[in-house]
Amino acid sequence: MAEPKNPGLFAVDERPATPASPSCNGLGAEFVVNVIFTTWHGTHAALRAASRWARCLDARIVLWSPQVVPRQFLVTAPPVSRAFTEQRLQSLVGAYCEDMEIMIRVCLCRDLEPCVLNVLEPDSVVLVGGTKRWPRTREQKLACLLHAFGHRVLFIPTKENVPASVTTFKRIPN
Amino acid sequence: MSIISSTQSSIVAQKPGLPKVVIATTAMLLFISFWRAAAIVLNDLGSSAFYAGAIAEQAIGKAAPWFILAIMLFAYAVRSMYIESCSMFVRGGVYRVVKEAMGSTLAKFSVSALMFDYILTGPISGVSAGQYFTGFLNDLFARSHVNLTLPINSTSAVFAIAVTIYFWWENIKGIPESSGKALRIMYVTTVMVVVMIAWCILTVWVRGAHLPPLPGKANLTFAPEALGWLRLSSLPHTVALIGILIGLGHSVLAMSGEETLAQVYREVEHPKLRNLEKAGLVIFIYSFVFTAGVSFFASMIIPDAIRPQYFGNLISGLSMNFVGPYNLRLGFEGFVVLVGVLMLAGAVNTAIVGSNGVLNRVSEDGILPHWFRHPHPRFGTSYRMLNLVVGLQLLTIILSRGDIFILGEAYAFGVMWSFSMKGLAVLVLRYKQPGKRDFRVPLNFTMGNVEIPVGLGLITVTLFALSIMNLFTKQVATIAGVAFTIIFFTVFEISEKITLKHGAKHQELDMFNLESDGELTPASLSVRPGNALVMIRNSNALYNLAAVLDRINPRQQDVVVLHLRVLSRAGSGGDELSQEDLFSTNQQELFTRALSLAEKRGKSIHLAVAPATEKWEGILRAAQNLQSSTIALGISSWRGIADEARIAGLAWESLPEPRPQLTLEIYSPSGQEHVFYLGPHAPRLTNKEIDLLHGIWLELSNEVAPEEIHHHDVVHIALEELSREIHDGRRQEIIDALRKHLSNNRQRRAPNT
Repeated sequence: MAEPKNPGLFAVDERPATPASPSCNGLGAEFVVNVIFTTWHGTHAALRAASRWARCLDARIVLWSPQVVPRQFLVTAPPVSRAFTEQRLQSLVGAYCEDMEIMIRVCLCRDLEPCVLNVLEPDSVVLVGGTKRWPRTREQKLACLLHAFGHRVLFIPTKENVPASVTTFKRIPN
Repeated sequence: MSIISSTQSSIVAQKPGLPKVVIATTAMLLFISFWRAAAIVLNDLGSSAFYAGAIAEQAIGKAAPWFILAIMLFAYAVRSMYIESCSMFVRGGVYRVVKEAMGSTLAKFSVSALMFDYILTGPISGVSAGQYFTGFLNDLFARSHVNLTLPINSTSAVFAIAVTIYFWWENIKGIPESSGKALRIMYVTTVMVVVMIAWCILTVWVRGAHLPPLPGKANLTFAPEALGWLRLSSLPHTVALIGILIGLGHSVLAMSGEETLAQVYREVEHPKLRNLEKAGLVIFIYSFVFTAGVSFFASMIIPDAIRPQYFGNLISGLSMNFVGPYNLRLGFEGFVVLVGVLMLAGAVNTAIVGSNGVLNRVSEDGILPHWFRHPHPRFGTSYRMLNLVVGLQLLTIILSRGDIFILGEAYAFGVMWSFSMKGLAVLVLRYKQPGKRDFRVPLNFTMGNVEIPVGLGLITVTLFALSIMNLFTKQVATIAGVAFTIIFFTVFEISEKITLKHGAKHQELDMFNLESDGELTPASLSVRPGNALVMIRNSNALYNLAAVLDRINPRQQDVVVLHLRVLSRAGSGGDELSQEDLFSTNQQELFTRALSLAEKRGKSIHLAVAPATEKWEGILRAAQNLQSSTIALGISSWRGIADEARIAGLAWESLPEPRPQLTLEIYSPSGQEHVFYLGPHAPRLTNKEIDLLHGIWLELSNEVAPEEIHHHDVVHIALEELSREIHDGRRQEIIDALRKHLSNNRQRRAPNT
């Protein structure tokens, strides 16, 4: 991987490099499945589910990784090095990008929830992976919050089979 | 509301034939309300209420609550000094402000003192939490008839070590810390404060109480260790001012945490300064009631004979001496301990994160070796800095053996010297950078052309007087503080010299991610139609952006800031532009300044850069694509305003249909605004024209009654008549009349210009 010549500036081409293959449901290649990075295992589970859906729907996967930066740091200079975060996320998605493009968006922010709510398009399809239990985990709370804001959210529990155990907050229309 | 300044990066994969993984990192700054800002500051400031009163009473006797009260009032003045510095530097902590005012050497001294403050915040907060926790356990053991009493100081030290190690590990892993968490802690704390004050009032009402003795000479009983090197002198007992300064010097802990105000200012929403003032007022009222209230009520409610045993956990002592059933009091003590541990443990974490942040900043500035910033192999954090900070904190806890008073003494050194240097810097800036400020510390007079900032001067003199007095009265603090500051200062000096030798110079610029090959559309920039398009080209001439930001309501209209790279026609053909061609360091600096202006006003902007072969074609195309309603630009240095507007109008005619109606605003550096309308638009009528129109309407409305006639009907008929006359051979007559009208207008305006 080449280092950018001009630190702080580098081109990001967000569009698919190759034309999309014919869709299996007519939704087309612009259909996006959003995955929110929660925990390592949770995100694995969500990505696994997302990659199956994406293949079937000819969809693009976007992995959102909100990284909370303490206020003592500049928001652009987080305590966890950016290169490290990006490398870690790249290795996470490595197994799922064999036949599709995955866009990883790292969002440096002060608060997780407002950040996620800001970056998602209205009425997005969102997969959140994590542990399911009572009392609710942070991941479950996030899924509920996104659902409350009108997104179509699927919670993917880490310890159960996927997608049989998918908790659907709102069904994706056929 | 948000500013989305996108940062760096992307890693585009990989081996040929494989699909892409694209990584983009974006920074998102969400502006926060003044309530949330106040909660963040109070989280740091409020924790001192748990120990400041007791430390002061131990040192100066029963009159201590009056000194705490005085310090809380003085803290309001210090806060106004912080607000003035924030109004000048959006991203200005002690280091930045002192560097700007008095140069790098004193800035390094200030940051060394600040580091000492941070290093001590952790141990004092951890030990204080330990004292509350241990005190509660001992009370529980006594209630359960368990014959066990934990040694307060050593158990507190162990507790503090455990908390520090826990947060060290969390920071090594890179835990998130949100302002939402601070707000939730403040909710719980507020419940505790309200219940505590209500119960205090009830207890005083039932039992009666006396106010603590006034701080007269007779009532000041200094503990021997509170006088330090002055214990051999009679001055503290004979000169009232010195006695008062010593008393205040032992109470200054109550206002530690003000530096957080500078940290949150960047994120406070519009109207930024007014919101900061509101946050300052909320902080003042809350900390005044909480910190001073605890100190006064403790003195009034806890009997003198047993109060010293609660000096480590004064609020617990207060709750155990309320009126009411024992179990209820014990339950409230448990609640106090829970809140105390939450706040104080939070302060331990804040101290670790804060010192890590400061060290990272100075390392970026090249005054600390980059070796310290080496990322942790597993978690990517700057673990060497964390190890250094936490190592020093653990050493401090062990050396103090959990004695909160020793820690309190030492802590005051860092707090006071960083305040004093900041005060001096703001004062120096009054002369070094005179001119307009959005906020000034009150009480300013002018003699001739020289400003005399009495208020700011008094604050600075008081801060220095307290700092100097503390040098003599706090031996441990002076020795430890001076040694620490000298060591850090020396490291900073040597490191900076090495960095300069290697030619690395840090330039503080934001980083931006350029998302290329897209059309400029409202969707691509996430803006609403009807936005204001502000053109920028020179980082030293952003007055048009400032003017637009001043008047715009971000809830109603978005602001797009566009930099147009005008390329020669020869250069525009052929190969596509590279990112570096379009966005060099100059553009980076330009956008950094633009973002800084927006941050200062707490308003959102959306940044874009676009290439064009012709200026006005590029601007109008961008406005058309973005569905903007307004274009704002600065005055041209080589073209008159009217000429600029005329060329814009001609370029507008060349736009493809449908052509948008646009308002063109041209600003001069003085802030004067010249407005032009591009495309068909409703004219702005003068009062005289409106009177004329209304007169005709009145006259005709009677004629056509009972038919209804409107003003626009009159305009319609008049325009049709004018058009007909132009085409019926009266063209020259009408043009002459028009010329005469324009000439009259010009003559009327001439005296004003």
